[in-house]
Amino acid sequence: MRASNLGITDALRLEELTRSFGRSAPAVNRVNLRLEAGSLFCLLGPSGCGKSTLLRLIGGYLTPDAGRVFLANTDVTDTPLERRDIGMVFQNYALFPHLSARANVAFGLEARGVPRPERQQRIEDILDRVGLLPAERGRRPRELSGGQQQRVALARALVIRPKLLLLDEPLTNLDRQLREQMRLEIKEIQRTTGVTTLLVTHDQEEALSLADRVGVMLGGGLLQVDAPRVLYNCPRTPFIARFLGLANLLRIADVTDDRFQLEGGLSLRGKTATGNWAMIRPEKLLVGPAAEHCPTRWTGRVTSRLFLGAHQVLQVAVTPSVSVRVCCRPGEAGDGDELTLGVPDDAVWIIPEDDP
Amino acid sequence: MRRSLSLSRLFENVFGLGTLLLLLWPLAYAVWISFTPSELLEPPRGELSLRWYRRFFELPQWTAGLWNSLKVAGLSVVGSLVGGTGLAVAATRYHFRGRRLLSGVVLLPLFVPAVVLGMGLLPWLRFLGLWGSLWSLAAGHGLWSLPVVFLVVRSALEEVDPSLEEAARGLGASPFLTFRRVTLPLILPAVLSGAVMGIVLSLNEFMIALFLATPDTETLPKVIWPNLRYTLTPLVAAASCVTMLLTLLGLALTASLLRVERFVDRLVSRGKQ
Amino acid sequence: MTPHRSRHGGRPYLLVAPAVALLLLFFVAPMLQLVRVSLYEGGGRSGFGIGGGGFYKPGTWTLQAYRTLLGETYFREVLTFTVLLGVGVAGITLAIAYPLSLFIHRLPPRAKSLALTAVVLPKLANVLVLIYGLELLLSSSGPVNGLLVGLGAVSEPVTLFHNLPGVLIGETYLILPYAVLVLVAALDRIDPTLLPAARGLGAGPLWAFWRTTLPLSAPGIALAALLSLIWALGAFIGPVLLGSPQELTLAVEVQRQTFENINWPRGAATAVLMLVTLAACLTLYQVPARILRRWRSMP
Repeated sequence: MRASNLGITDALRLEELTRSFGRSAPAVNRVNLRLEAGSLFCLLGPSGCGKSTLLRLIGGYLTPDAGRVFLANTDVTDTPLERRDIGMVFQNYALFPHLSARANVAFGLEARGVPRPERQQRIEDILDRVGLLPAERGRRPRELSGGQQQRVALARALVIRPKLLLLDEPLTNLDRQLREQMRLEIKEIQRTTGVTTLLVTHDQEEALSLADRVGVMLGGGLLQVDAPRVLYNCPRTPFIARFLGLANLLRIADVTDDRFQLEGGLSLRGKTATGNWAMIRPEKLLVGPAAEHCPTRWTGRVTSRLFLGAHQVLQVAVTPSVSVRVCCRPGEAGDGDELTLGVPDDAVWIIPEDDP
Repeated sequence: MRRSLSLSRLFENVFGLGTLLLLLWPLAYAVWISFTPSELLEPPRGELSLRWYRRFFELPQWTAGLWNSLKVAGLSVVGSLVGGTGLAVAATRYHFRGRRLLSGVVLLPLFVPAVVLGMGLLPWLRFLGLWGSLWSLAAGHGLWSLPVVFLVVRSALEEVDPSLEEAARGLGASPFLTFRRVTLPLILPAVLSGAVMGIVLSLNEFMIALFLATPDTETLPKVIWPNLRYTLTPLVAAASCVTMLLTLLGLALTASLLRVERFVDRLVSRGKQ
Repeated sequence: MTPHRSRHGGRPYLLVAPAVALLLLFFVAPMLQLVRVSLYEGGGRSGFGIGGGGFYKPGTWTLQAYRTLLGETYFREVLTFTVLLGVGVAGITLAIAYPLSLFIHRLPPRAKSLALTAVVLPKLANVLVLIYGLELLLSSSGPVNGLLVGLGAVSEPVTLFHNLPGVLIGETYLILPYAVLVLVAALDRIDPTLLPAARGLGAGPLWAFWRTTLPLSAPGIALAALLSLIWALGAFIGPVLLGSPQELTLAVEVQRQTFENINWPRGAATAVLMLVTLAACLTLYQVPARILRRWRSMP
């Protein structure tokens, strides 16, 4: 069922998509995006950034004020939503409460006039694939657990063999363990069915672990679209840097020939990059014997410690005005210790743009 | 402080219970009297008798009245169901000019005193040629059940999760199919209760019946009326108890219908496995 | 942030057509005709008012009926009585309905359904039966009087019907269920954690009630008061069955003029004036309603 034989055609293309509500600033502001067929894309952003609105615009639940939506090179901007052939999983699942799980999944096929025998076959197949036990298939949604409901919602969206699968914060309502399990299952289902998928979330862990590419959204606009690793290591703005994980952001005060002068009197070896902020991820700083061999070394005192199980995060005051956070193994250092930190050259990333 | 709490609570409970009992008392008293064996308006002393119930069913005028009441109720409810549900769907799911105005106007008949309604309808129905038929009464009753159905169905529609209808549309269902397969089943209890309320209102409605009825088209309350004003016999009590019984039967029937529907559903879904 | 649910833009003509047809045909048209009848020149025994003249016949338009009515002391007295009775009944209804609604609102679920059924049950019965039952209750040899005499509150049985107290009791009895339903619904909508929060902050039960439950139920009280007033102003059955000729409301007057005196123009004019009174009371009601609303948001 691979859908990626579309050659160089994008599965989804958005051009200058814009939508406002009332007279306030646009919720989605001139968004441009291209999705490769068969890929899993994550829209990541804080609440209110417009990601859900963008999703609804793509699905046809909202009409744009400007811009166009293309599905496999066909302009669907004016196509009514029941003809777009897009599968959607809502945040609250939106399962029909008066129908059984099976009947829920059958709904889309019935609307398309698929004959009964084929219908039944496809329903059982997809329910097998999402992992819903036969005993559970005759039950009503209210008799199913959150995880089971999610599977039904997925099955319902997938059984119609959509051109695009949209997921609106599907894992937000689940508890942590279930969330991590479902993440893997979604990834697996997407891989085996090959359906182009767009998933909206505010959880950076989810986006980083699931997606082929991630788009960070803020204030109605897409700030950066890249592979997770690129996004994490080379964020374009300080906001993205902070949003994707712990980050040390140090203001650059001056640039001399071969050194960056940072605030608080610290300095770094020169790089050929421009920007106002230097970013260092806590896990990239070296502690203990490894730090001794680094050309750039900072010393400071541990002011606080956060124990996180597999590792701990230390706050180290390297100058009276600057603290950096460091990851290390528990037991390597404790409160009040004097610490030498090693800053490898490749641990530093100069953030090219500023936040507006 | 705790003492004052329990005292005030006690007082409130006594008041509440007492008032409820008081509210039911006239009803209970009338029911009690309907079983009296005597000719006079007195509660049965000793034995109960179905004498007056038998009398009720013997009198053609009274049974005709009952039959008319049922026919009128049926007519008016059908009209108000169609009108009220349609209007409720339009008011909650569509933008159109005059939406607010129409939603307000439909409630007006509830506020106009029955006397005025009856007065206004009388010559007009005559003009329309509907005078002297059950349709005129049904029209009057429909004026009241229409807003009730509208209000009940509208609030049910507003409570339906909008993402359910969106999901149905996204899966490929046309607006009509969405309504039929998703919305309607979900608001069915409300629609049914609106219908029941309409029937109850119509069966017991008296004032419009008073103004609009002709000797051929008397509903039961209208038949009772002269009896109440001039000669009080337990026949009145028996007649009203019959009406009340019918109403309660109707309510029980609806409730069990809803339960039966769920039972059948479960049977069907189990059969599909 | 949830975007607004988009409504369909289309025109639902088919959906609203039945309701509009019903309303136009059986409500708007008759009301318009009523106004026309009130302006009809025919005086006295004009039968159904329009007679053979038709709607537009020139020369049959007059304000005579209104002029007579508004000039009469008789009419003014009836009007005053109706308004006073309406306000009085609404007031008594609210006074009884609010504590009763509080009581029902606090009941556990099973008892609550039972109580609400008990409140609504009288409405399922025929209004005539209820009045009949009330009459029996309130009669000289009935239980109420028996209780009053027995408690020593009065020395001999008090006539409680065919007079003003009878009308008050009767109308209140008829309107109470609606007020209770509205108030219980309003009370149920209040966040149930607010009262315990207030108590936890140190407020005594009465003070907590006064500062949380009562103001928050104000919209419900306003609505219940409005509905009670509207129905009380249209009082017909109560005065007719439980009152004496002195308890004359506009509704009874309308019926009498139209169906007993067969003076339709006068009856119609009375009806129109009655509607005007209703509308006036509704507008005047906005004043205390606004006060209630402001009180609710007071610090």
